[in-house]
Amino acid sequence: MDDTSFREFIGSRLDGLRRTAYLMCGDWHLADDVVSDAVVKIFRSWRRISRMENLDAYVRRAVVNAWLDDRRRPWRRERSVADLPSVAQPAGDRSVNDRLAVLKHLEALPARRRAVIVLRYYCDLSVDETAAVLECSPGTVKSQTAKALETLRTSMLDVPDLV
Amino acid sequence: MGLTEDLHAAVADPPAPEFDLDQLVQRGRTRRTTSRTLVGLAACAAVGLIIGGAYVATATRPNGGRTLPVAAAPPLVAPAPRTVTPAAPTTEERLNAALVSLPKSLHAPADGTVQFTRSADGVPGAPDYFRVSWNYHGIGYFIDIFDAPIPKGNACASGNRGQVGCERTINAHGTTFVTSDATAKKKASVISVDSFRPDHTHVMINENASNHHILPAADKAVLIAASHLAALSLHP
Repeated sequence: MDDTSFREFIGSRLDGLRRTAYLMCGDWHLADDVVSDAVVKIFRSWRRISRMENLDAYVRRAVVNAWLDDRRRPWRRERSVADLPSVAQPAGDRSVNDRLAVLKHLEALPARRRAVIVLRYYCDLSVDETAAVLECSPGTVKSQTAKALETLRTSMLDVPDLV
Repeated sequence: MGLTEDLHAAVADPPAPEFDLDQLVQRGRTRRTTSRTLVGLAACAAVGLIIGGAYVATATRPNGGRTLPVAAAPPLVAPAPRTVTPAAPTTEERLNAALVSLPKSLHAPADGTVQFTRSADGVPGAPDYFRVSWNYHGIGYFIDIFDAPIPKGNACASGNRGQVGCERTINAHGTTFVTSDATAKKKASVISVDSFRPDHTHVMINENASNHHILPAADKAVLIAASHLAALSLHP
């Protein structure tokens, strides 16, 4: 099979997909795993997928689903340990602190709400486009967004008001 | 900073990816080949199971479904010629064969397109009877054959048949009733013959022109002759 079109398409979006995955899972290694899984799955069915109208939504959905699947794996679940891991000290660089704070606040959100926030405020998708990626109704996207923003607001994060 | 800016800032300087697109493509190819191989193997296994199942079913038949070694040895004594007794024809087969002996004027198809069938009219416990019917230029013919004794009463007695013409004849063939819708002013368009035989066969032959035609007067004798045909018997 000629994979030129696949390479062109994925190559131009790989960076964005990695960043999206990172915002959802909060770990670059895990983000790479998630994107790798999604890309392999997309490649296996590329002949069928490439004929789709909204290819970007499908690829984003593949990444979100790969992340959600990954979270369900037993070795990803939290487990108690005897010794606590060492905690990084806040750096003097404010931007780094801000970055970590955002990720920390996002981590506090349930998975699908986190996905909604990332898709809407990082990928800049509309309510309908987000609903298409998450395979849910626009109403669900709106309510999940509202709840997620409410949580973030209580964390003193500067979040936009709902329109 | 707003949420959008915070999110963009959080992923501003990503590390180099740990994967290579070529590797992923290779992995995808391998997985695709593996899954196709597995599907092929599963299909082969299914076919193997079917063939194996068929073989086992054949092998477990009496005689093992194959020639026994003993059968290969020459017999010491010549086997006695087998006498094949032809299976006795069923009642339907006998009655169907009799259709060709019906009078030609009844126009019964002799090419086997009409056949006697066993029926109980769908009534549980009702005795079986045999029925055949055909149509010739708008005239319907029905033959029903029942297992019934000769009735003792006179079905043609006054009051039983109303305005319908009815005749009873008793002779060596048994008791025969002939009814028709003929009146003094109207010729027959329906003739029915009921022949009750001494062997408990009741043959009912009906010729029905449904008021569209006038039946020839000679048809009455033809129907009576047909109802007396020896071949149309349940107890030959």
